[in-house]
Amino acid sequence: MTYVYLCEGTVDGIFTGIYDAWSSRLGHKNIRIEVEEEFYGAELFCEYRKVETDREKAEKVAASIEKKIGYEAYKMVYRSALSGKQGRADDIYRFLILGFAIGGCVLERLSHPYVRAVFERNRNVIKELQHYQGFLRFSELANGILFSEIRPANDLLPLLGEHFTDRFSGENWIIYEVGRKRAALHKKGVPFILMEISQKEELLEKLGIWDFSEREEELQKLWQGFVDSIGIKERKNEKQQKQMLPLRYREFMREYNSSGF
Amino acid sequence: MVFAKTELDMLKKLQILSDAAKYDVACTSSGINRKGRGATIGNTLACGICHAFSSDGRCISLLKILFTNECIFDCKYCINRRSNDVERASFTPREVAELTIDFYKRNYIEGLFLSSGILKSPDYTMEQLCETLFILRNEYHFNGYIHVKAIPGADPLLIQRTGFLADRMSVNLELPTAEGLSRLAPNKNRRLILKPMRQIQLGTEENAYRLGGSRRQLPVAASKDLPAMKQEEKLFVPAGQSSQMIIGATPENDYQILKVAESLYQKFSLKRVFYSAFVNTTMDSALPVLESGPPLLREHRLYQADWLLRFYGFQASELLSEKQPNFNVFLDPKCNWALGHLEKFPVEVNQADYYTLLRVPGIGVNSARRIVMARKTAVLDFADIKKMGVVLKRALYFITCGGKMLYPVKIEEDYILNHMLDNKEKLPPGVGGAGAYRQLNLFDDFKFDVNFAENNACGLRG
Repeated sequence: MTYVYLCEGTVDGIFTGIYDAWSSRLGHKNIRIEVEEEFYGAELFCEYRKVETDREKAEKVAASIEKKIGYEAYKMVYRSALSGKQGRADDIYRFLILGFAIGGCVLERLSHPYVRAVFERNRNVIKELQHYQGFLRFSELANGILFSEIRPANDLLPLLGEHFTDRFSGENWIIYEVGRKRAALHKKGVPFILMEISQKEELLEKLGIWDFSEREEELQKLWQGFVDSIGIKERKNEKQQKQMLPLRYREFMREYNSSGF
Repeated sequence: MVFAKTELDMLKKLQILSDAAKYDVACTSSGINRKGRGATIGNTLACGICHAFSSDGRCISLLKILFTNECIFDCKYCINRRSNDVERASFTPREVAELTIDFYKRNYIEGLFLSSGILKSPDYTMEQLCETLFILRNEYHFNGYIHVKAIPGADPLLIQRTGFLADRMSVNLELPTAEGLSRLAPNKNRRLILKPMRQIQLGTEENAYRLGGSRRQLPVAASKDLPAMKQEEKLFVPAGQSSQMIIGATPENDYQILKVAESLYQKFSLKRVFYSAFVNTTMDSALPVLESGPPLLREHRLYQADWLLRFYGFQASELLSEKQPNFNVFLDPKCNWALGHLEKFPVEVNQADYYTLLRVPGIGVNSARRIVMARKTAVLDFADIKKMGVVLKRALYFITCGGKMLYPVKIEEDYILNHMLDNKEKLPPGVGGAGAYRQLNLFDDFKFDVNFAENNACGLRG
């Protein structure tokens, strides 16, 4: 008999799932943790248990990862929990089983399948994060708010929020994630918050703003002009350009698809 | 009444001055971590961030512009030479500062890369650059990345002042040898180029003392995570200096170029040396005509060798020699070295030390580090190291796992060469595969065409 713990897709949800699964004492090999949105229907010979997300339990798990395996491992697990590929909750669970048993040196065991799974998720998230740190584009709304849309494969919003809070602490900005229908909102001088928003229009309506600022179009033209003239035509190499900046990142980059406003 | 149009609009200006700056290659934003701070805008990350890629596949990280292209010099290779008929324009310091902030806020760029032609005099030009940086840092409170050129021949005090406002400075060596320089750039001389380079080097070495407190004993390189820039704690060129050379305008061979780069790293502690494949824009009679376009493959090989110098513990004299002064067109420098030193192979992945692993083709810095880490607790197999990022199709001729090679291969130069070239990296049409090593015959028609677009990896990133 396999027991499947169904938890919420958030980091808190996954950590709560791990807490419940661990304390159930059913035996690790009889347990699987799944994320709700990845659940497509019950399997035979499985008992499904729903996990109620509990902040306290999640914090306990986070604290013991940090204490028993180390901060580096915690960061890796956290980023893996944001991974967009299927099966993240269970991968983390397996990694932690090993980690709690052998401690900090678990990070060195790259050839172990449990470690490798988390390692690869972590690497994938970091890679995409670095891309979005560069390829995300803000446009200025009429009231000065910087607005941006993204569609990453991994759940990068918390990480990007952190990055831009440090970078633009004195600005009001919004990053709207189209795929997961969430937004990171940052008000000058205070930490950013995450918010579920079903549509971009809904967000703009709440702000009462529809237009971009006067300078916005002009600046986009300036930037477009810059990007065009900085390339050396004798070295033209679109294949490499595509390799370095894959098309999936260009959806909201106006310099590459001038579909306009 | 009709006035002659004297003021160019911003778009035109930006186009002229970014077009004029595009041959400068050092568009990196790396080398320094600096957190954001209350009243300022921006931060910097040591790994650098690429914000876009231009049509030639190079990364756009900084707003790369010339302050002016109204240059009084007459360097034969330069599109902005005095005697060339191109549109001229100049920014004002405030225009540059404002544009940088506007672009930065939209996350278009990581910061500013300001270079310039020589307007009026080196001193005047340097003053303008310094003024721009001053406005950007102190009026617009810009805390992001700034790379600025030091103008050879400018007053050391101006360079000193600018250095405290910038993250990285660079002086272009332009051409690898002093003779080449005096032939193609009559207004420049080697001594004037090396002087500010030395000044910047000495200035950055003093940073260790500026940091104060517990960091005092540490060399600058060790103090990775710097706090936000505080007035009293300003550092001089904290991200170090770089330089660039034009490749293919003068007859130097790769060995000479690499030697020069090596001595720049060793004697001037440069962070990066950039190589810029020569693009003939002026059609001067003193310049070579490159029928097959800029020597991109040569540039690529130089970058590969440069990496070997900086991260792999190689020396220039190991890769090339007087007898063999140019890189192999078909093989990257590391493969080439390995094939010439087959007596050192195969190495055992589970035992060889880090630096020996680094010398194996197909194993890079990351995979070597991972191997060293992972083998503490497990015996590694080919499947494991493949997952760690080792490129097996290259490494398989040079390594054993647990005493066994992946396939029964002969450790023999011709054998390995033929196999590598058969299924190896994408070679450009015309220099393809086994043809390279087939016997030459009288009616041979294959050309060593080095017009190489594909294989030019992003060697331009930090």
